[in-house]
Amino acid sequence: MKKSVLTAILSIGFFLPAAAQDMTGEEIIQKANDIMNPPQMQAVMTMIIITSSGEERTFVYESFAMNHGEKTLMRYLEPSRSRGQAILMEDHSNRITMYFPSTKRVRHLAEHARRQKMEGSDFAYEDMGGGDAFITDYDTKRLQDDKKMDTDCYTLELIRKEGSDAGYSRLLMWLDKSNFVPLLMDYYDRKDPELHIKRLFVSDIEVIQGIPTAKRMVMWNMLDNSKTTMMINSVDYEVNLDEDLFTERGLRE
Amino acid sequence: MRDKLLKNLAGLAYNHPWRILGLALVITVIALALGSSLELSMHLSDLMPKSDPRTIEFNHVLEKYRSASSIMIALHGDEEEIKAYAEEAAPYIENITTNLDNGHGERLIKRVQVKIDEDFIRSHGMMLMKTRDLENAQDMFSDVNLKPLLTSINDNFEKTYIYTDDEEKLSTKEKSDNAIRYLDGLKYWLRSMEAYYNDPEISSERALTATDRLLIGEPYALSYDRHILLIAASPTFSVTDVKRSVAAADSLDTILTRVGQNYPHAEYGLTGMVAMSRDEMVAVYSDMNYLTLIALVLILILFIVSFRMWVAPVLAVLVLAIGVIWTMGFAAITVGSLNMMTAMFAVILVGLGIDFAVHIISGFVEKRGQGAGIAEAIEWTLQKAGPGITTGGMTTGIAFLTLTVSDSRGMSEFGLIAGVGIIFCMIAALTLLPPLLVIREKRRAKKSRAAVSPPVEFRFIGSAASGLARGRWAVLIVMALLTAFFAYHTSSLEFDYDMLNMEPKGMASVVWNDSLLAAFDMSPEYALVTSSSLDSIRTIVKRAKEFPNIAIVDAITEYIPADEDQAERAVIIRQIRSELESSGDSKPIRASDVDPILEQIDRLWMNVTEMSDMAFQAGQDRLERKCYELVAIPGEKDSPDVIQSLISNFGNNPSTFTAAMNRFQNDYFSYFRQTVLKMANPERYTLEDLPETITERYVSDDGGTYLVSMFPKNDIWNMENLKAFDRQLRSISPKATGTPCLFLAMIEIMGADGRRATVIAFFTILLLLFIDFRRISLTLLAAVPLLAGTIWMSGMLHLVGLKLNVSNVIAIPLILGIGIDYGVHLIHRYRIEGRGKVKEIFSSTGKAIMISAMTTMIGFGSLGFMIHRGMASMGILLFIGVGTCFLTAMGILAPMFGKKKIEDK
Repeated sequence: MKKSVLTAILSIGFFLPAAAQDMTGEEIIQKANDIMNPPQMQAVMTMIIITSSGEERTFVYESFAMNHGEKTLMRYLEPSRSRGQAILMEDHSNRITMYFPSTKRVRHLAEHARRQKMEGSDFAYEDMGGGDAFITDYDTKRLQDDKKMDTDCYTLELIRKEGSDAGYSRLLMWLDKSNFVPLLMDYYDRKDPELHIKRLFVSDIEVIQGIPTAKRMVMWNMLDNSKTTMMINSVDYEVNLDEDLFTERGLRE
Repeated sequence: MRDKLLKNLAGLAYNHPWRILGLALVITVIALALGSSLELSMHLSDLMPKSDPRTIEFNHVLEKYRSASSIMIALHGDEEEIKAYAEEAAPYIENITTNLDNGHGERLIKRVQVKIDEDFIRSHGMMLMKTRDLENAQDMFSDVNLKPLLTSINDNFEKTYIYTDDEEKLSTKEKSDNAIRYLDGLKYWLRSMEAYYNDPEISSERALTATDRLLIGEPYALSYDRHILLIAASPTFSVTDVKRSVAAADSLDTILTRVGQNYPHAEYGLTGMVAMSRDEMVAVYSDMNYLTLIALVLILILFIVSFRMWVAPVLAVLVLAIGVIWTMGFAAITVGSLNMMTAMFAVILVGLGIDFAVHIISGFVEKRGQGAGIAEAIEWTLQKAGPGITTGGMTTGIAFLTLTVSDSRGMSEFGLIAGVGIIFCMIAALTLLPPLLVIREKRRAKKSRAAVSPPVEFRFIGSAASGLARGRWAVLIVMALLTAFFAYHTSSLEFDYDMLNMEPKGMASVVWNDSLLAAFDMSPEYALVTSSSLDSIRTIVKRAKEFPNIAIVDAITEYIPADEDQAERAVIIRQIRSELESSGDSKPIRASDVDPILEQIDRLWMNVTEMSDMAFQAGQDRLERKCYELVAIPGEKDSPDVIQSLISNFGNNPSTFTAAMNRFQNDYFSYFRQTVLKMANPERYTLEDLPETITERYVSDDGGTYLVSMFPKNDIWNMENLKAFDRQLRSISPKATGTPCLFLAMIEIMGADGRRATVIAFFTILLLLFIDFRRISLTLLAAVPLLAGTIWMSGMLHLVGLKLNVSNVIAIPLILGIGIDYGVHLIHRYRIEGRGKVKEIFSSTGKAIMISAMTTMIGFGSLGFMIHRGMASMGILLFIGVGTCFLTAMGILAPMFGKKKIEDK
């Protein structure tokens, strides 16, 4: 099972801080992971990218996830130029299928495409797909607690396990002690564990249907000096989604 | 001791004026001879520490690789016109010599590259393709009849761009650019089909060109909009060779202007380090000359108005010129050449050095006006003004000299030259001006002329100071509030990291630099890495290509794949050859082939449409726009759809289409096959097999190392982009150098230098003041107006919209050395006059320091008119700083002098 940033920050339950005082890194990430994947989720999101000409481009899309993020479907709503274009990520982004309404054709991406940047953003597909990669692909070490954005945080270092094909060699994560929301994440190059390549800022956390939900994420690509902003316009964790939605037919709808 | 020395100096000036002047003349002639060898060099590396590894590597690259000094020539205009312009100008450019008029002399340009080495691509094109792309394209060459060819083109398109599992996808500039080139080739191919359909008499040349455009691509370095063409001229010299750089750039201007007369709608521009270096030098030289002259004339006028005499000011300027000449000689011996910073020393010395003469002439004229004899007036002047002059001169000089502790050469050499220069000017004024005044007065006496007329008294200064002293508490509170106000604005003062904002405004090479950035989506300033092994170069190139922010990676390995890659590709190439050789002759197109051909064109439409969708989502604007040259822009009703129009047109008349396509196929078939067979050369080749046109760009002159050039995608003069680019470079190779790396290093080093020099200068000044005054109270009294003046200056900079930059940040420690003088002179006079003599102090010394401040402001203010914006900003900063230090000295010391005698406290 893979773990995504998206589901991690979308769906994190409450924990009693006192219970976590003496937790190890593995226990903290495990606890966080246990509540990171809501069974189902439907959201409308906004993504802002910077084009190669330096202009902002805003996309609005609906996103559906089921089986704790094992399957995710994204369908563009705006702008009209992209309306209907859809991406289906299955098996925690290991299978990616795209649909083009302009030609009514479907294309399949290869397995390692999950490491690619998603649609001009600074998020990789694997950042978007669900799962528990933080546990299966990384060894976790708890570092000295820290204060980030005026919040007491647990600091975790995640080192990629040998044999894993995860896209990052190392991650640093600062989780809010009160609710285990990762407020800040640093991503290190796939090959060079000393090369800091991206930083994720998470903010505007609201409790929705009992789940603390980060409504704003900014991924800063430090090498390209580019930023992608994602915002949640609305989210529903109590939705009942049909398996058919996560098929080629669902993709074309 | 100082008093005794000054007294002796006055005696010497009165008794032996000619001997002193004779000795000075000898020294000046020697200094002039030495100073005439001073050169001007405007490279960034001249400002860097010699031991900095990036500077060492940069200089190494410039020395070892002529291609690193390439002059970039940009031609702008209609595509066909600029191509013809380039072809016509190239032979002339290649023959540029040091003597343009007769063609004799040393050659300055080694080679001119107008287009890619087509011959090499034709012989080894397939070996240069990535193995994966070669596999994808394999079917495309197995049967080059139109129907199977179009099918293969679509298969290849989908494998490469649409259904690709290539990790790079379209997200890198290289991939995106390849796709754009591919679309250009396809567009020309489709347009050729249309041309054959519309014109039964069309020349077969069209089919051959269509083949070349599809297989080889565009040979010229054209911008995305195809309106700018780049030519690279490799010089025979290094960019560090100033004289040849100027000669080559000047000759290029002459040739391109001459040839350009045949292409009236096209224009040319030069950029790159050689051209920018030349343009800067021309601007700085011409500005320095006329601005120094203007500053001198203005100062002279100020003197004449202030002292009601013209001979003494002329003598003052003469003495100042001697001080500057001594400094030039000193600079020639110690540093050898002037750089972007040290080039300003003459104007700075004119502004500052004249102050010593102001105090001497002011004192002399004042005393003579009171009826004193020549000897008495000279002795009195040196006794009264001398201590202030020596303390002021030494504090300013030593403050400048503290810059020599800087790591950067620019700042260190500037500190040395300006520091020693100011002390030379002080010595020249103290030793030469008194004998000159003595000679002049003795001659006047011989001619029985009256003593000098009383000078303009500037009584208003004394009155103003008295007023300030009377309302001392209110004045001090106002001064404190103003200082707080300016301190608040100081906190908002920004630093401008854009190096191009320091270049002369409108400088042609900078304007073209910006145009190229916009036209080619990459910065013309690039980073350089060298290595002695091809394997290591391959590793560097592979790593660099992983960064989307690096637009282009240019290395020899792009022309010579690794042995294992060559072996792998040779297998595929042999298959391609075999399949093509056995594919037989051209097969006629029949009526039944029309629909399948049109289906393939429609499939091509789908592929391009999907590519445009992906490009839109990925924010790849160039690629998206290129797609719209073939398919309609979604949602725009009037947008033409070239491919659908062709399908509709071709479908209207199948028999005409069949006949036309047969002609087209007959015309291209053999040439296409021959070209592919030639490109499908499976033989392994080595570095020795590469033509010199390629190797000279990448292999060092001694053949020992190889050069990789990495062009950033974004504007590196934006600090965030520059830092990001540098982070990428450090992760690729810690040895990376080039203008972007040097600039970032310079900012870091000079920032640290500036902070350190400011602190050292301040404490050195405090120490010197304490040695002079022997009182902490007086030392602090002199320092407070200086600190306040510096804060006022910083706040005012923000208020007038000025930013700090690499050029003007150097002025902050300088202003400490300059601004302290006003307090020093006033306190010296205060010690002589005593408490309650505010009017006397300020009427006399106040007048002198006001004239002194005005001359300094004229000197620095004249720099503000330089078209080199970095130097201009430094001049403006110093102009404001001198003004604020004068005002704070007046505003703080006048009320303080009205109080109880400070040293009694």
